[in-house]
Formats: sequence, structure tokens, C-alpha cells
Amino acid sequence: MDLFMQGSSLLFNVPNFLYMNLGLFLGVIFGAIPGLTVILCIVLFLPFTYTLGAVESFMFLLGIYCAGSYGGSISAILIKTPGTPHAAATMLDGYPLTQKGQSMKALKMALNASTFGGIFSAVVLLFFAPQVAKFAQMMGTPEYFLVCAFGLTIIAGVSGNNLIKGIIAGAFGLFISTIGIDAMSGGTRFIFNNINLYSGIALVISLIGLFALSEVLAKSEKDVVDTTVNKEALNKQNCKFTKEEKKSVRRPMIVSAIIGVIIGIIPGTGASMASFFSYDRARAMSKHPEEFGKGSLEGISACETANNAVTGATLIPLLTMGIPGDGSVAIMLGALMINGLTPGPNLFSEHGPIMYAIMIGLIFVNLFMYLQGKVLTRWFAKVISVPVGLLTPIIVMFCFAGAFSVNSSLFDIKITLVFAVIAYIMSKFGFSTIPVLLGLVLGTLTEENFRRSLVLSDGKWDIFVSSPICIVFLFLITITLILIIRSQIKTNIIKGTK
Amino acid sequence: MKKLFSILLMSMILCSTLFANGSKETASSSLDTWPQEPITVICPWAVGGVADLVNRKAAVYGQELLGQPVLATNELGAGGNVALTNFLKNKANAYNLIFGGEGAFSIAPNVDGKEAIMFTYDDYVPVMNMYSATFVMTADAKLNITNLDELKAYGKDHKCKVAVNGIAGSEAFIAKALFKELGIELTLVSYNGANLALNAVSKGETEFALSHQSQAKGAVEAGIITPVTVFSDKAVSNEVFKDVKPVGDYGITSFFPNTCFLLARKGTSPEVISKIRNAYLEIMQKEDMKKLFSQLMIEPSTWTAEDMNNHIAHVTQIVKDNN
Amino acid sequence: MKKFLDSVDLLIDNTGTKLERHNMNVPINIVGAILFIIIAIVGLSLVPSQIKLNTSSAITARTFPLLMLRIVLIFSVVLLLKDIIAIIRKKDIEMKEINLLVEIRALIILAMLILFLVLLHFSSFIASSIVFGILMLFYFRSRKLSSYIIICSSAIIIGFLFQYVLKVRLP
Repeated sequence: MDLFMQGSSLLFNVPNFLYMNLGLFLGVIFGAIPGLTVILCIVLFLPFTYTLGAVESFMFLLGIYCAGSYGGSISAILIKTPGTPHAAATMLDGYPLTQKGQSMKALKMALNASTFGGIFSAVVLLFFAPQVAKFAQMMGTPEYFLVCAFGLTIIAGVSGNNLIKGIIAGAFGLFISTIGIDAMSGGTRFIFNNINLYSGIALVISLIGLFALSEVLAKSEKDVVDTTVNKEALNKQNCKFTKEEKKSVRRPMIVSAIIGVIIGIIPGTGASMASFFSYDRARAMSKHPEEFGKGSLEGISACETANNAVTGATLIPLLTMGIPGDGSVAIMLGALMINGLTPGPNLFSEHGPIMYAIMIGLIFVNLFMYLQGKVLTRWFAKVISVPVGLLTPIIVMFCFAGAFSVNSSLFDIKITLVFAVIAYIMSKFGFSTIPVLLGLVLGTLTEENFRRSLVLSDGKWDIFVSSPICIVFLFLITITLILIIRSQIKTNIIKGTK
Repeated sequence: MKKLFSILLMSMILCSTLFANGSKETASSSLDTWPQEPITVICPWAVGGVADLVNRKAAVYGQELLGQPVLATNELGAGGNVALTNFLKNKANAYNLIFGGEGAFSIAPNVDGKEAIMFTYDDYVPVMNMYSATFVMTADAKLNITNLDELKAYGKDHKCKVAVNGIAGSEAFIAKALFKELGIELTLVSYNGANLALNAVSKGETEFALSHQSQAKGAVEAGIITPVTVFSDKAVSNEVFKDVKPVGDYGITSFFPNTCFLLARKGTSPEVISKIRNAYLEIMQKEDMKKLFSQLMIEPSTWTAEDMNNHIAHVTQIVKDNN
Repeated sequence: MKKFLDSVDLLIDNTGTKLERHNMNVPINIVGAILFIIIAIVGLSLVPSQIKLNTSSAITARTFPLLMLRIVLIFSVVLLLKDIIAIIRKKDIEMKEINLLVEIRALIILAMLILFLVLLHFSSFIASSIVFGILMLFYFRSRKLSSYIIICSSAIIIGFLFQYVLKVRLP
């Protein structure tokens, strides 16, 4: 309790809140623009923090981190282009709502859900960090692999109406994820002696191609001269949630928050996996699973809660063990080090007040994110009143600039174009591109942890049943597979009788 | 319609002026007054990493000691090799400098994927070594191994699992070299980052890990892992690593520190090189640079160009012997 | 000037209507499956040259990519066979109308994107964006002067925003 008070007194200073809000604002912008990522934002503004104190710089970075996690949903909902990889699942239901003229409602739901997820994980961090860290330490390489393998079963859920096509697309994505240096053997795979392919294809790069630019190519479908979404509809939008709607999202939000926290503590998995996971769970639990993909508020609430619930959770291994859960957090590790704080088990005993200031601050980061979001979404929502003919080239400019900025490389723009063509052709032939993204998200992790497990066990497969957590996940995977196969047989029978 | 035409014409003119701006030369006119433009120092590795922190901190003093601002940037990809490849576009005496080390010049050209490496050490001129970082080997505290004798005894009837950051990283090669000289067997387990490698040994997934001292600091302080040896000639003794015996005491020679060379493009004149070198040597004497170095547990270095060349050759030999 | 543009429009419209009549009914599953079979076979044949092996353990760098390519191949064959069987049994298969005009338009957009990329190799981001923006508006048949002004200024604003406010490096 003493530390709590000391932490609070460290936190409640005007500069902390100023930097927090500045970070939040930048985060939303970087999150919302396709191609500009949270990591990039943190990288670019990191020098800024070198002159600040530990709490100030952390408030600034956490502002970027949380708002960036939320910002991706804005463009996913409004222009069918996820600003960040983890907003791809949000797009599935967000954009259909925009088409129905309910973009404000979708945006509002995304903001509410993100705030809830963020605060949930901040509270977990504040009160249960030691317990969660202990749980995290029980998870090893084989457990990580089984979590990923379980994640792959989501492919069935995002395949559209044809499971076989979903599997093809997913395996294709998994294959692409193997391009580059193989981390386990050091050998190269499919790099065609090109240095730019050495470290594989960055997720953002493929994301821009798969969703943003392929959408531009699809503008060939219709005459789009000066067409806009009905302006009147935009103004008259009813964005009040009904009682049923409020009730329907309650359960998926709580479940997704928990999923987000669990995924968040596993290093390297990150928000994309959490949002797909929760989306899949929310559909399985929903009373109206048929609405998913057509504008379900439950779907939006699930993925947005989950990807923000990751934010607080990734800080747990960082602060307790010094393990960065994703790229953004890895940079925050640097920010801690420069202030003379060595992340590790002793961090809390040596720098208790600062740690409490940071953890309490995270709750406020989320509260201010809500306030900023409320103002900014109204402003962002005007995007859809821009004529398509005008909006399209501007989106392309953003995409190209974003793709270039990842590695300062024109080669990456080439890659996005290749992905755009692939996605365009795939959607022409009725393949969903979401499984490709899922494959790209999970591929490296799945393979690395699988092979690392076998190195650790000297090639013995029993390592995958070596712990209770392993057995739980094996059980879950088996059940899920059985359910998928059963529903396939059912639909085939229905088709057959027709 | 006329308006449209004129607007198009306007934009074309605008474009052409911008085109002209785009192809600006960066070569300097007179070497005596070098630098006349801001200098950019590219760190080809991760933001927030040791090299990046040093780069950014040092850049603050650029204006004071070089008379021009120094901009610290990062250009990532392929463990630094993309940035080093792109750097070849610079001419001699350009205002861009880059970091590089044994990873790029000794390891990358000698392991898988070497076909994609388009540069050699000779394409650059070493200016100075920003720092040396001594690697440390740590063990799961439960094993109670605190020096190489105990490691040897343990290794007799165990195949040791060693967690490293990347299968073709510096850590992997010094681990292989050490175990070869000790005559015990090892299995290298590659993790995606030093922190994850250390976490593996903390969890007991592997028995040993290799990392920088600063990376292992937290877990060592907490007593979860214990230092076994440092890869140096002299013993390390600070508040975290107390009297850790170096591999040098056991007559082992196949080891090297992690370095971070500041490099200019080949052909850059010696005057320019020494100007930058002297400025940076002076920067390293600043109080807050010293403080940063001790926080990061790295040592300042006064290596000459010859020392740097020897280092690259030495590491290349170790890599070739242990590949 | 207006006359010239109108005649261009007329020409485009005429070819457009001619092309629009060219519709193909494509069995999407069959074509899609064949496409992926080709990709998988090309991928599989490249594996030996693109992934070198230096160990002889059971699980190698090749295992995972090979597995994935085989999954693509096997499931594509299944997809193909399913539709072929359906044809034999004279059942309906999934068809989709592919319009030649739409595809040519997509190719034009792609060509513009490629042009944008090529321009970036030679000139600054702002200049290339302006050229691309104007072409794109032309393609969308926008005749409003305001649109052209907006596009040019957005290119300049984006360029400056990225480089000086957000501090992102641009070509």
C-alpha cells in the first residue's frame, strides 16, 4: 500500500499526463494509417524520451502503444484497410457496418471495447503481475507451439464458406512465412540470393498488399466517379446501442479480455493472434453466429477488447522477467535501461515506486485514450464522405509511404504489389485472404517453437505431453478438430439433400 | 477546361523542380572545411539496443565537437546486412557513417546465405570502435556451476544445452569454440533474442545461456542463474558479476568481444577519418557517456584501425573453424 | 481542349461497351485449384535449390515448407476433383462471371501502381505522388478542377507530414 501511494505521487504530475496524451495522439494516427505501425512510431519518437525521466517516457511510450493498438480499427472499419495487422479481424465486421451506414456505431464499439480491454489488462498488471508471471514461467517452448497450433484451427473459422479453400490459403500463408533465414538452422529459404528477403517479409508489408492495395485494384469492379457513402446517412446515424446490443457484447468482451491477457504473456505472439482467437471464440459462443462477417457488434467487441488486453499483459513478462513480448515492448526495454532500470525479478523491490507509477499510469492511459478517441473518431468518420475517386489515390500514397518506411526500402513496395495481385486473384476465385494473413502471423512462431521443442528433447516427441498445460492444449485442439469435421459433414449432408 | 490545363502544367513544373531536388549530390567540395552538412550515423540494428543507445547518446555531442549536428538513425533488416548493402551507394567522404561489426564481416560471409552478401569489409574504412562488450556464460542456478572446471566435470556425463540468440550469431560461435576446446558436447538451442535465451535458462529449459552482461544482470541479481565464465582475458568483477573467472585463465583463445565499429565508405580521406575519430574519442570521455557505458556494462575502446582489422580476421578464423 | 477530352471519353466509352459484352463464365473452384496446383508444383520443384541442407536430422529447414506446399497441392487436387466429380454427376458447380472490361481496368490500375513505384526510383515521393494522383483522377474520369487541386495538395501535405512532423523517411 505504501508503494501504491508513493507510485501515485510520482505519477500525478502534469508533465506525465501531457506526454501521455501526446503519445496517445501519435499512436492513434500511426495506428490508423495503413503501413505506419506502432513500432515505427515508437522508434521514431524514442529519441524524444532520452531526455525524459522513467515515468514520463513510459507514459509517452505506453500512450503510443495503447492508442496504436486501437487506432488500427478506425481504418479497418471505415475504408476496409486494417491500419495494423491485429485490426484485420475487426475489419471483417466493421466494414460491413460502414456499408450499412453504421460506421459511427462500429467505431464507438471499437473504442469502448479497446478501452475495456486496456483497463482490464492494466488492472491485471497492477494486482496480479506476480501470479501471472509465475504462470508465464510455467509455459515453455512446447506449450508455445501448442498454443500456435491451436491458433491454426482458427483458419476453419475465417475460411468463408469453403473450408478446403481456407486450408489452401492458410497453408499458402504459412509457406510464405518461411521465406528468409531459418532461425533454427541458419540456412536460407527462398531468398533467391536477394538480401532484401534475408529476414523474411514483414507482416505490415504483406498486410498493405493483401488488404489495402488489393482493395484499390478491386475498384475496377464498378464506376466509382465521385461516389460517396450517403452523407445524410452519416449525419443521421443512430449510434446509441440498444439494450440487447449492450447485453450481447458483455460476454464476448470478458472472454476476449482474458484471452488477450493469456496471449499477451506469451512472448512473440502479440495482438493479431489474440484478436483472431477471440473473434473465433466469440462466434462459437454467440447466439447469432450467422451475423459474423456481416456486421456483428459482438465480433468487433471481441477482437478490439482482445488486442488491447494484450497491452498490459505484455508488460508483465517485461517488468518481472525482462522479457519483451513484442517489438514495441522490446524498445521500451531500452527506455528502461537508459534510465538505469534493469528489468528482472528485482525490479519491483529496487524501484517499487516507479513501477507502481507506471502500472497505475497505464489505467489512466486507457482512460485518456477513450476521451481522445471520442473526439478523434468523429473527425475520422468524415473520411467516408470523401469521394472514392479522391480517396483511393490518397490511400495509395499513404500505403506506399508506409511500406517504404518499414525498412526504408523500395523493394518492400514491390512486395506489397505482389501481395496485392495475389489477393486480387484469390478473391476473384473465391478464396478468403484472411487465412493467408493468419498463416503469416503464426507461421514462424509455430515452426520455430516446434523445432526448438524437438531440439530440446533430442528429437523425442513426448515433450509435447510433458506438462499439464500441454495436455490441456492437445485436448482443446482435438476437440476443435472434431467439431470442425463434424460441422463439415453436416453441411455436406445438407448440400447433398438439396 | 483551360484552368485544368494550366493546373496540369503547373503541377508538371512543380514536379520537375522536385525531381531536380531529388537527385542531389552528397559529395563534399572541400575536405578542409569538412563537415559542411549534418552527419548521419546509421545503426543497422534494433532501436533500443546497446548500439542504438550509444549512437543516440553520442550524437548529442555532434554539434559541439564536429561543428555540425549528428543525426542518429536506424535502418533495419537482415541483421544489419541490408543497411550495410545500401550504404555502398554512398561515395567517399559522404556525410553518412554506419555501424558494423564481426557479425557482418566475419560471420555473414562464412555461413549460409553468404551468396546474398554483396559487401566485404574492404568496402568500408574503420573509423573507431564504439565499444567492446564482453560475453558471459550463465547457468541454471540449480546446477551450481560457477567456473569452467565445474562445467567440465558436469559436461563429462551430460550433453549440455546452451541457449543462444540466433544459430549463426556471435554467441553461437564462441559457445561452439569453447565447448570444442573443453572437449565436451553441446547442443545449441537458438532463440529469437538474448532475453528469450536467458529466459530459457531461467525456466530450466536449457542448462546454459550466452549473452551480454547487461542482459543477464537482472536474473543473476535475482539468483535464478549464476555466471560461469566471461569471454575475456581478465576477470570481471562488478557488483553483479563477482569475481567471474575469464576463459583466458584456462588457456582458451577462441573468443572475442562484441564490437561496434563506426565505418565510413571506402576512399574517405584520412583527414576526415581522423577528424571524426578524434571527435568521437572525445565524446566517449563525457561524463554521461561513461555513465551510460557502466549502465550497459560495456567498455570504451581505443582500438586502432589495425586492432579492428585484426579483430575481424580473428573472428573470421573462429567462425571458419567452428562452422 | 474540352472537345478533345470529350472525344477521348467517347472513344473509351465505345471500347468499354464493346469489351463489356465479353463475359466469361468461369468455374472458379477449378481455375483456382489449378492455379494453386501450379504454385505448389513450382514451389516444390524449387525447394532443393532454394533450401540447402546441412544436417541430416529428421526435422530440417525443409520439413515445414515442404509440408505446407504439399498441403496446398493435396487440397487443391481435392478441390479440383470435387468439381470434376460434380460435373460428371451433372450437378451444379460454383461459377462466376468474369468481365473482360473489369479485368482490363484492374490491369490499368495495376499499371498505374507500377508506374508510381518506378517513378519513386527516380524522383522524390511528392513528385511521384502528384503524377500518380493526377493519373488516378484521370482514370476515375474526374473533371473537377477542385479534385486535382486536392490531390496535388494532399501529396504535398502527406510528404511534408511524413518527413517533418512524423519524421518518417521517404524516398
